[in-house]
Amino acid sequence: MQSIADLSIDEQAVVVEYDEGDFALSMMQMGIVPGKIVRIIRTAPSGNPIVLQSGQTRVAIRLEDAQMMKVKTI
Amino acid sequence: MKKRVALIGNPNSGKTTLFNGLTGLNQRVGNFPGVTVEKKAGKFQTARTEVELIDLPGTYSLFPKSLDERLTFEVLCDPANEDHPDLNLIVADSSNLERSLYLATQVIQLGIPAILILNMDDVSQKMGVSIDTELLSQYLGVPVVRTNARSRASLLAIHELIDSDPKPSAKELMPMAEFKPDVLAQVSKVVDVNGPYAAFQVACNYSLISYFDRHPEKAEVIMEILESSSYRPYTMQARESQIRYGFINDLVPLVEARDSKKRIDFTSRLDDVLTHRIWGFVIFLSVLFLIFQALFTWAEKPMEWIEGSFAVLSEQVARELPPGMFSDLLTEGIIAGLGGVLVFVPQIAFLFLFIGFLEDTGYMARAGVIVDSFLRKFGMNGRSVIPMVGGFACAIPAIMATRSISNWRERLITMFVTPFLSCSARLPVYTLLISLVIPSDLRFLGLQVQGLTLLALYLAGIFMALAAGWVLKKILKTNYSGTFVMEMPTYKWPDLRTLLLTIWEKVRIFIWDAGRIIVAISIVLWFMSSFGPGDRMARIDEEIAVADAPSKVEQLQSERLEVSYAGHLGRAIEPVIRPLGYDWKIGIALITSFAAREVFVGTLATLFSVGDPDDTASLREKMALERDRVSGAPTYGLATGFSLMFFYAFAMQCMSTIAVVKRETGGWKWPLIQAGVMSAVAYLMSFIVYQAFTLFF
Repeated sequence: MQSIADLSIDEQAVVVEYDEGDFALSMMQMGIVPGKIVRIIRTAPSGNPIVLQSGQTRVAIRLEDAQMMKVKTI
Repeated sequence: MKKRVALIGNPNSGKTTLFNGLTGLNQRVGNFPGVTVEKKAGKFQTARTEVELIDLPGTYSLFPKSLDERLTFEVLCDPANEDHPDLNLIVADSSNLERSLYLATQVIQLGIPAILILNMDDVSQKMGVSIDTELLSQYLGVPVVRTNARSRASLLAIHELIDSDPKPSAKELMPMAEFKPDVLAQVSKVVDVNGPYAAFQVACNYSLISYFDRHPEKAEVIMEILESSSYRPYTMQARESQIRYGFINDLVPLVEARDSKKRIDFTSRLDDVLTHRIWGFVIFLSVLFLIFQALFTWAEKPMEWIEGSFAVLSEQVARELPPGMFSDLLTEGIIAGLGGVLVFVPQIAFLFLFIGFLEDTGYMARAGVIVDSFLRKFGMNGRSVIPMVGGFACAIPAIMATRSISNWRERLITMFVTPFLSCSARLPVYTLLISLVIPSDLRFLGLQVQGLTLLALYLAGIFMALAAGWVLKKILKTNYSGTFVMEMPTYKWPDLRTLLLTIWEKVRIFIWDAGRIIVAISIVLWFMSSFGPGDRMARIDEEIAVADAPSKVEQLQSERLEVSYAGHLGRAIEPVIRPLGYDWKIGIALITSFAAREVFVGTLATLFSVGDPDDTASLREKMALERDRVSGAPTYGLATGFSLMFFYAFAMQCMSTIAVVKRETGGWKWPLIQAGVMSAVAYLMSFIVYQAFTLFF
């Protein structure tokens, strides 16, 4: 399945699920739960980490972690 | 009526500003028992209630991932905790209601009376957000108030709600039926909790709670209960976040109306520049440069003023009091020591002004994103940038700030390398030595060599910190488990009052903690350099009394110092430090400044003023006049000066840092390794620098 790391900037997607772990809990507690619409709004100058936006929340995550976040493009 | 009230909220929700607004200057900073998490508490009086307010560390949920969050969890979930509140003030960022409501509804459901404060009303109004507080209050079952932490009316509204004596919410915001209520009922029998949701939190997190370290038998029982019913905390917590956000996502559209995205656009336009692949770096480096510039030039005047005042004071006291031991102790021990402490205040204030400003505006998070991929090469992460920038002020708060790094390895490396960065206590050492050995009008490519040298020292510290991080990363090979989830807050103007209070707090902590050591050591030093073994001191004193030529007096005074206890000690270590270009006076200063680097300057000040209390010429001038008695060359020449600068750049030389690392890592292993490595690096580098300079210059 596609992960958020596969998306390009500004491509919209829906969160499907997370691989089990602390990363999943951190993200879900920030409100980025399965079913939420999310997109990459920018990346760091080196391309990693990436900054996601979902609703009013913007978070920076690493590409390695991003692979644990499964999404479906819409 | 008396109430213990806790202030809880997300990071960046304006919680600290609200805390300052409510308590004014009536607050104190301490530690939570047993841990080094800073505990801010304050008192205030409403019309009918005497409130004791505790500021809990900011968190996004009750789930205790970091140590700070664990503390919030323990205070709220354990009714026997000494800080367990009678009332919770939950601070929500009204411009991001959805996310704020997660923690808020969790806290409400703990069964403690609560008030929901929709803070940053001014910001959300600019964003075109309007919230129906009455409706929200009905849904949540607790009073809701819109505030702007900076306004008086907001604070009074909070006072009124506290006086209304709110009751716990009667709503079950998240139905507990999905979370195996039978298991939760069993857990409630083992520990005293406020209801099924608190029991759920305990069931999910019991292994992280210190309460169970003290009651291992209860932990055992809970473990058995969970195992026999195959209760998996991860599954339950994941389910909680889905169900709770389901409720919140249904609720928010009912109570909130948004008509524009103005502010987000502003933030995103600013981000285009501040995290740009080229401009982002340029701005980041400019910010760092601006900080150094401020420390060096803006802080100079107030520092001179403080130095001057203490010189005048010392002179005055020496004139008023009859000459003798008491007068000497006062002028050369106590006043000199106090001056040595207070002279740092301007630099510490400027540094924390910058750090506070960068953090409160939201720029720190961007700096974290810019440097994450870079710092990762050295075993750290983007969050390390906050402790590291803090390390330029003082390693002690910086090491404490690493608590926000949830990955243990990255946190350990950050703690290990932070003391390599040039803290503000090194600045006076650098400043003194630079001004001593480099003329202020010496220029290279139009730039002052003094400034360039300072920059080089800072860069050397950064280089060494990164090198140490890289080596540690290779040694501490563990599986990658670095979750890095960092919120990018909306940009906003910091609250001036909050900034100033933060600075005042840091200054006060410095004066109390480091200051006491410095003054105590100044007194010990005065004693060591005023007295010596045998009667040689007394004989030299007699000779001074009858000496006629000033040059003779000076020479005798120098001899007097050599026969003192301090002189003996300094000379004992001279063979070890000779290859670095140091004499016995520096030897003494090296020993005493192991307590704290800044003591180096104080020690030299004491050493050089001993035996000549009327001389108020600055230490700088006196040191420059010091000549090698054999060759007549300046004792503190270029080679020795640079060697010393590099020694102080790399050596641990700070017992407070060792103590704080011991506390944070839970043992002596890491601080001792750290001190050993840093001393070895410092010795080696100074040796190379000294030998190279004597060879080529």
